[in-house]
Amino acid sequence: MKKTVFAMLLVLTATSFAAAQIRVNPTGVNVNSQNPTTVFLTFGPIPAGYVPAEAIWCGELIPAPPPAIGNQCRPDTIFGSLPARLNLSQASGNGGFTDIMGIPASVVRRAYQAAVDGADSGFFYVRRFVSTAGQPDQFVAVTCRMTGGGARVPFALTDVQIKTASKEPILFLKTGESLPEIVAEIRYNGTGRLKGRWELVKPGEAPPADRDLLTEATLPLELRGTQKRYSEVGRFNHFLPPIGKFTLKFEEPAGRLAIAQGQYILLLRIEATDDKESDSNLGAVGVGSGIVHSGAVASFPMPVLKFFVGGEGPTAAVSSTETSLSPNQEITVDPGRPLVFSWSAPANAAVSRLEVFDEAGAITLSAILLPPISSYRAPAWFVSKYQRKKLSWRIVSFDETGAEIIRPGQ
Amino acid sequence: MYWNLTNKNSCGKLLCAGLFVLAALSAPWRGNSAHSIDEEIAVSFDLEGQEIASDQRIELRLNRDLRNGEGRLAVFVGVTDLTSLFRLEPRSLNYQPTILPLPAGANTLTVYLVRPDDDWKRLVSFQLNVKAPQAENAAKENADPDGDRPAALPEVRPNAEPENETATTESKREGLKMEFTPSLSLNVKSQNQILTFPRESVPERNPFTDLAGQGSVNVKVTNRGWSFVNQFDLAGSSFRQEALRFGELGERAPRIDLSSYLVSIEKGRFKFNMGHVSFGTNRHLISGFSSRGVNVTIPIGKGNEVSLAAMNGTAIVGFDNLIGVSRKKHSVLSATFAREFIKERPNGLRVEFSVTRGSLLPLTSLNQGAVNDAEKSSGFGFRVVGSTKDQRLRFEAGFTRSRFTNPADLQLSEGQTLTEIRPATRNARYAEISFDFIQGLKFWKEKKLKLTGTFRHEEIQPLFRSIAASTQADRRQNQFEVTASFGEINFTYGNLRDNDNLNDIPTILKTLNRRHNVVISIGLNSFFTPAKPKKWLPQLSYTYDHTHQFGAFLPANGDFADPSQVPDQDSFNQSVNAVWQLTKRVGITYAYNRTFQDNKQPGRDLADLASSVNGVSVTTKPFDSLELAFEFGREELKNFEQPRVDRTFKAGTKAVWQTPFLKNSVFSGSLATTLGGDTGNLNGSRNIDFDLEWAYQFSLGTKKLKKMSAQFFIRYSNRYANTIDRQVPVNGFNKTQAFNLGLTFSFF
Repeated sequence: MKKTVFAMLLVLTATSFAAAQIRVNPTGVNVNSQNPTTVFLTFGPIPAGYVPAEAIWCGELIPAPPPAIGNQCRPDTIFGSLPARLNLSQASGNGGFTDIMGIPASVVRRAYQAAVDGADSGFFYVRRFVSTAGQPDQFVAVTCRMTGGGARVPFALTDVQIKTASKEPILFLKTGESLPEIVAEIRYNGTGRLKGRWELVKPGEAPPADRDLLTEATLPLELRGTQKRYSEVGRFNHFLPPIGKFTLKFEEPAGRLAIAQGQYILLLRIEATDDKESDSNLGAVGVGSGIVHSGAVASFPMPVLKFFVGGEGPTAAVSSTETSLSPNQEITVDPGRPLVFSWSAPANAAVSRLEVFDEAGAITLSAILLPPISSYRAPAWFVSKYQRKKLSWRIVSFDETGAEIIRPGQ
Repeated sequence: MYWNLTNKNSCGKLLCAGLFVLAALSAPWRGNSAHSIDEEIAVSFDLEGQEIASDQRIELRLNRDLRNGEGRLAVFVGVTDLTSLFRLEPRSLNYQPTILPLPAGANTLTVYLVRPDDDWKRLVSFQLNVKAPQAENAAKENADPDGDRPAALPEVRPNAEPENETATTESKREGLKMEFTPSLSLNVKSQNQILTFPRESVPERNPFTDLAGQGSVNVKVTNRGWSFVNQFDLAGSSFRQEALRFGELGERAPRIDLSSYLVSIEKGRFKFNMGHVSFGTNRHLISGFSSRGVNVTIPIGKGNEVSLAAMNGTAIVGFDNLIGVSRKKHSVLSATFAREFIKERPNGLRVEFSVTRGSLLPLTSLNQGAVNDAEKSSGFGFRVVGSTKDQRLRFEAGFTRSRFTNPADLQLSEGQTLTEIRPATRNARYAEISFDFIQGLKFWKEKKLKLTGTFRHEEIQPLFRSIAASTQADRRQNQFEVTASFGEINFTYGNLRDNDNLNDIPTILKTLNRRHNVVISIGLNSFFTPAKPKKWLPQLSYTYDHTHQFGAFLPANGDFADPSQVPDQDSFNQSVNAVWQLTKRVGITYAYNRTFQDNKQPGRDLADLASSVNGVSVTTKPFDSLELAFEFGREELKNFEQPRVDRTFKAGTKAVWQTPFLKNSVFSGSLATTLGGDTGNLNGSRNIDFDLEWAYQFSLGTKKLKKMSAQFFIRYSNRYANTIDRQVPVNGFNKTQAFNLGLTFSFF
């Protein structure tokens, strides 16, 4: 009888331990052997009183000394710990724990050198959970298999840099001035759809927090709709083949982007996409049902581009600061302002010729322009050369036969 | 605005010295374009000195493509700007004759590089001899019996040549010239968020009012061929979280800080830059590395030059580390010796030898996010670039050897003993050669055929890395490409083969990559009628890309458990773009993209995805004062394994009205809605954005220091987001409504 009761107690204890044992999904992933890798992991169920402790990469596992549960890292094969700067882990959902495993290149470098020396090339990511109630520690491991970083590796962004044509980190623009070419240079693993939007924080709006700048796939499912939104100024959806780098261009939308003067922040918002390698199965770890799609995860906030708009510009939106001229108007060139000629060409004009004359009536500048061009900005050297001099100008338009189009009144 | 001080040979030494000191003291400076030792763009013209017909096509050859951000090219014949008649093509500028013939006689054709900051730099001038009309008339009598030819371009008078240099070089003749351009803007701005849901999202400050500002000073001094450019930009805010370095320093961040600056001194080929600079042309060693620092280019004789650079490890802002080289563990040093073997033709044959040494702390640049590390490397590299005189054959090759290691990183070790990481000295190489098999072959309607073949090779050994270049190590790739252009038609076909795991380590997966791509673009609107484009026909482009990536074997002892972990994937990606410019006021763009990912390895053969994206945008300007834009999009993703189909629809509109009733007043409004969800109704999302803004500007002074303008704006924004996932389940709402007001004063 005693033996039976003891056996039942043992089974119950084992069952309760088994039920409380923390699991992870996915349990194994392919990683890049030369560059960083980022993977979305879900741990669960996290028993009451357990909190996550350190996470370590190592070459070999050994059983954790009892009463600890699971396998821990063999001390002489440790490649590194998850650095605090990359640690975006947080509790999630119904007893779950979301971990973003960002593997620095120096960790895979160690693993690669070990493999060159003849060791198993696979390595492990071991997250320790400690109990605040005196229960045994639990170690949960994820297997990392070294590959080239292409297909079958979770789709993740590992380096994102917003660059401008001038390569300056912050832009200063005049009112009405167009943005220069802006691109996001992206390094990634795996393959998938890069989907998202460009948003703009306008003057007066509260700036985003770091949490708002994370890619959607970096957050637990229940937090993905809670990031603060700003004015959407562009949407993109591109397929990224498994080649590791992509340049995303910011297409300035039609209409004026920045009307009010002040500080603007251009945000890159990346949405989560369906990528099987990035999936995390909540049911497999007992924290719900369904699959969390985490394509385009990243273990850092997306970079932003600040730009300031102020002062007068060559193409001011709300004030005509340029010397904008109508045909046949006499002008005195202001050296401080761009000189812009604008006109309305006849509908049947095949080509137009702008002619600028000095006081003696000699041509100082001309330009041949094709429809629909109806304005011309004089070169800077011309403005400088003819500063404070009186000029006059006209437009001569020609039809398809080359005949000059005579306007009524001319 | 700026003030222009011109002093014709009357500047005393004291004044000159004072101006120099002022220029120097007013550092930090900044320029609108970063400077680098990148090869200069060069233009050649085969018909120089030859007599040509007045309606003959002209081709100007470039030694390389114009880079993004470099600006644009402008072409003048005499005083006439013909830029709009030249079409920029890969490595060439082609003149399209119009009904207006070129002026007869000897003319000067001048090519300028117009930088983004509107700085005009003369690149080169050629003699253009156009046949006299009498001679041509005789030849063309049959074609033009009436002799009623349209007027030619304005005749060029001997004294009407355009400027030969940028505006500043005028001072070579006229003495010292100085431009001083300050600007200062102060903004008072506020927000009142009148609705927030959920309650947890209520902002910490509501309402709030902040004072912010930005200012710039630009000093440009030219004298006797020397050019000093000195610009700096500052920004500040009373709200510390808006400070430029809040992300780095938190509460210690100064409220007013330096954004960037540039001090530039140039004369001829000599260049000295301090501030935000860019350096390097060696692809694998140091390539376009941009940061704060110092670089100098010193010409040695006519064909040689030495360039040196010392820079911070990442791009920074702020007054600290002003020169950029004060953090030794986070800096890059580099030097390049370059020799031009054909002095009269830059990049005809150029050889460069570069050395680079530096180390990085695990920090990222201001505009960067990355999984970073502590890194250290030193190395050297060669680069050879050249071309034949007619630019028919072009080549470039490089070799780099770099020693790299990862210094200790306390965050990575966290007090534990890590396995040793051995410094690795590795090589990287590349070569690229292009040949124009057909150049300018005319066989239909004056349209020229050009056919170019290019071969590229690159090999980067495992563990290769240099801290000042972005590379993907352990890769060997070969690519050939054929490009062709025929009038307005451009065609490209490329084939790439690459593989990794160059050391064939049996426990690591070896992946092979095969890629084919085709790009075709045609200006249907102008191909048949270049003189008068048909507006109802679009400019059309199509791209096709097929990538097959597969593992060479199932690695042993690499924790690969089954073949499903070894990739075998075909991906197909096709895109079509069409652009119509129906009238001067109406434009339509349509874009379609379709992708299919086909996984073929056992165990994953059903894990396929197909997706498509459709987008239409219409822009119109019904009146001069009103701009309207409409946008519609549909995205679909089909997961064959689950199976599941997700769809997203987007509709958006934007209007900008510069009302004629109130001068200097602009209304802007936008409304966009995005709906998403799967066909099984398991999840869904809905987002609505609405913005309404009014800005009004007025001037209070108009001259020099008294010049001041002000702008008032008010904005209402309303954002709504709802996300539902019925499997998990999650039902999240996110709603905000806010008013923003601001008043900005701009001085000078």
